[in-house]
Amino acid sequence: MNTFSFTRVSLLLKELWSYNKWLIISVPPVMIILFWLYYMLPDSIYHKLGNDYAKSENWRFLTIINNRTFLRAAILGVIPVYLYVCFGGYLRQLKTNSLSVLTPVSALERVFTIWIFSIGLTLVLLVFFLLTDELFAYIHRSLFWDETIRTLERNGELYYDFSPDFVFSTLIQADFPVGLLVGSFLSTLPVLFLTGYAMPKAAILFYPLLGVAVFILLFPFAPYTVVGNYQLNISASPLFLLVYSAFIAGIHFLWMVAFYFRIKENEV
Amino acid sequence: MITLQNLGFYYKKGKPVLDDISTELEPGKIYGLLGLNGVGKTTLLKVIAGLRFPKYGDIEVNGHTPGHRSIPFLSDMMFVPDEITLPGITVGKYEKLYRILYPKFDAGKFEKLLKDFKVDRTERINNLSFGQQKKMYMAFALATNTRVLLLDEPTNGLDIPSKRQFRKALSSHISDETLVIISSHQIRDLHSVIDHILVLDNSKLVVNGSISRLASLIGFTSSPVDTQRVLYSETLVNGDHYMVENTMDMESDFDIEMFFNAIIHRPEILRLLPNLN
Repeated sequence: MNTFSFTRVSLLLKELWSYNKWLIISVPPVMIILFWLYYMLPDSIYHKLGNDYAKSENWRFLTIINNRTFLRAAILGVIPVYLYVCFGGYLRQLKTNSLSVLTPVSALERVFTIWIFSIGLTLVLLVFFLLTDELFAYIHRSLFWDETIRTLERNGELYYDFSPDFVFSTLIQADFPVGLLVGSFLSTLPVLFLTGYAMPKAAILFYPLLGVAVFILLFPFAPYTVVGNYQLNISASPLFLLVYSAFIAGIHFLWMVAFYFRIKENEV
Repeated sequence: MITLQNLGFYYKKGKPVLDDISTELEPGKIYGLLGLNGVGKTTLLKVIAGLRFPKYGDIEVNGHTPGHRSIPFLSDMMFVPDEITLPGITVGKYEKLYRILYPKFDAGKFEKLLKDFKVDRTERINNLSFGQQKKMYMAFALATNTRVLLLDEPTNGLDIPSKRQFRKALSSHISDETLVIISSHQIRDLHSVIDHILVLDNSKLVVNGSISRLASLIGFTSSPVDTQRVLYSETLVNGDHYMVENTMDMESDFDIEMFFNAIIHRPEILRLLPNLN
């Protein structure tokens, strides 16, 4: 019998789905709640619009066009949280539960399934993040766009250069490197598996920190990096990016190999 | 067939848990693995199951090395540990998910055993009591029809009717191809189903004999006659009981519990009966 069978992989995927069904179903409402909370923060646009100083039309207009909304990218921090909730207990079981260890599936199938499922979950989170971002940008356009244009025209600003990160834009439209941030979490995924397996308590701290660290390291090399009102076009040479990506992929692969042997040689 | 050759295991060097154990366990039998607490019964089961790897010596289970955890080995062997942690899904969902991994799984048998054990298949496993979870998993293990079945303290947490049902199920499970090893402290619960005894003491396998063989050497009586050598005696509520050398081809029920107590309290009995193993 082969050590890799798609039938058993599909069984393991079903297993993970049945353990985490409600967690995955919770993604859309959680995203909406997090965005809603973000826009309700003390420094948010709604808070400012509700303040006395924003009563005059000009203040209101300035508040809308000057509001910075890049921080909503922090909502993507739910990715490591979701991954930890999904896999923390599962990895503990793989390490300590004899029934899990003796389930007739190979270590390779386990590792592959965990890898595929975690990438899938990350993409689900990313898709719902982008959809919710689009939804809120649409709501903001419906609420404030006409008023903003009218106010701009009254002030003689017919060709106003909007900042890319104002409330009418999504993060993608604002050229925020969302892919790079998510990619940073994906590239360090095996660290979550390894620490979740060997040191479960450390995983919740170690994995997100490493993801953010990789993001910060790679940030300057993102094709378009927005700083404040300025859109900088800093791009590293394609060769450098290729070597860097190959390096990250290599490290990812080696971590996965380490995780594979950790599972294979585990004694309960 | 399980073959152990000079098998040894330790958690800490210099303190062997299992030392130089060699034996062959044959299919068609239910082995009772006995020993005091901490003597290594569970460790031996874990080594056979492939959960622990031997430090020295060899082990083979139906031609497979357990530590490799190959798919053919795992799909033909079930281990029921003393404490069970199962996922928070329904019993029916559990069966649907995992039965595919065991080619000889008998859904009808599983259904019947659940009924006998009074376990509701629509119930979520994590909502079941410890005993119910154990019964559910034992029903699943028996329904897989694997050639090797390892049970660690199977009657722990079971109510009296369930113990009876379990004995019944186990008796009907055994065939010429299946090999069952039961490690238990509660000998009385399983007395009637065990047909071969393995006793671990001081990291060694000190007894390895079938009940019929042991009964031909040892008898149990409450009134020994002069010609019988008393090997061990116990005073119980209903009087004195004696374990004697069976020199007169006497027929008595083999009292596994008394035999176990005897070899633990008087290990020299093993030397007195050299043909015991």
